[in-house]
Amino acid sequence: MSARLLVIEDGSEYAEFARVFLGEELVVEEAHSAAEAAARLAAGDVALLLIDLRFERAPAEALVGDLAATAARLFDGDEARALRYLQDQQGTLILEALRRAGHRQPALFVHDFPPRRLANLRALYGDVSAVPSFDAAAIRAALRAALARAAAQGAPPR
Amino acid sequence: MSLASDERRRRFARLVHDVAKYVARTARNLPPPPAPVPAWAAAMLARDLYETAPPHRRASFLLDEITRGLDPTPELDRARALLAEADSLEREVRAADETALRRAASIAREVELVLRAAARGTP
Repeated sequence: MSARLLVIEDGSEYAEFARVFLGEELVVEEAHSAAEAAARLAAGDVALLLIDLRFERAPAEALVGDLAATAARLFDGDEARALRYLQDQQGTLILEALRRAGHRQPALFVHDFPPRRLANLRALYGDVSAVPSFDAAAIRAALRAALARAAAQGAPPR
Repeated sequence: MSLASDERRRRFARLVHDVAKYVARTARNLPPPPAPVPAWAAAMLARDLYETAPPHRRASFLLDEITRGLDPTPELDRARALLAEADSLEREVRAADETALRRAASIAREVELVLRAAARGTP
């Protein structure tokens, strides 16, 4: 396969990993925010998403999520805790934003989600997989399976 | 004073995400011996241990920073000892000494396992 994989992260560690260990099978591209990812996906031809979960290095203004509203809703107005929450969950918030924009590509996280959390993500956002660690063989297998599912559903990437 | 349980959970989640996962990024994918560690993998392994992401500080420093204020546990003590050994190997690892690279990779893999075990044991 030579499908395009869009890596969404706040650094470059995932993309480096993907180019080194998955580059023979996938064309790897990078985005560093929801806005960058949406712009790249709007151009078409991306088949898969590999998303980091925590975005600690991204500037607050680049994060998905309303800081004040999150503070008011979840943390009794404490914006520091709300910022940590937005950073800690940014990958799933980006995925939510991309799904709302109509982008349905299978998404993979390198994270050890508890089974109920992963089931919830799938219920909310469709094709979501997770591999607990940077295990190249496991990640390759998960991406191949995701591509096969997408092909079986006849869902062209948009 | 002990940290609140939600802060403890967040710290252990950070340990898994920021230290355990990244420190073993290359180590768990090296070609097995007797194949030599490729030069590109040696450089990546050194970054994983000594410029760990995020935010590009050595893994031992990140471990100490994230665990500050947490009660000691056998797993955290073991991880700290392993990363101290990795730090002692830095010169040889950066020089791509094969024996040091293999030991450093073994350390990295064990650190991942130990920190995941520590996180699973967090109430």
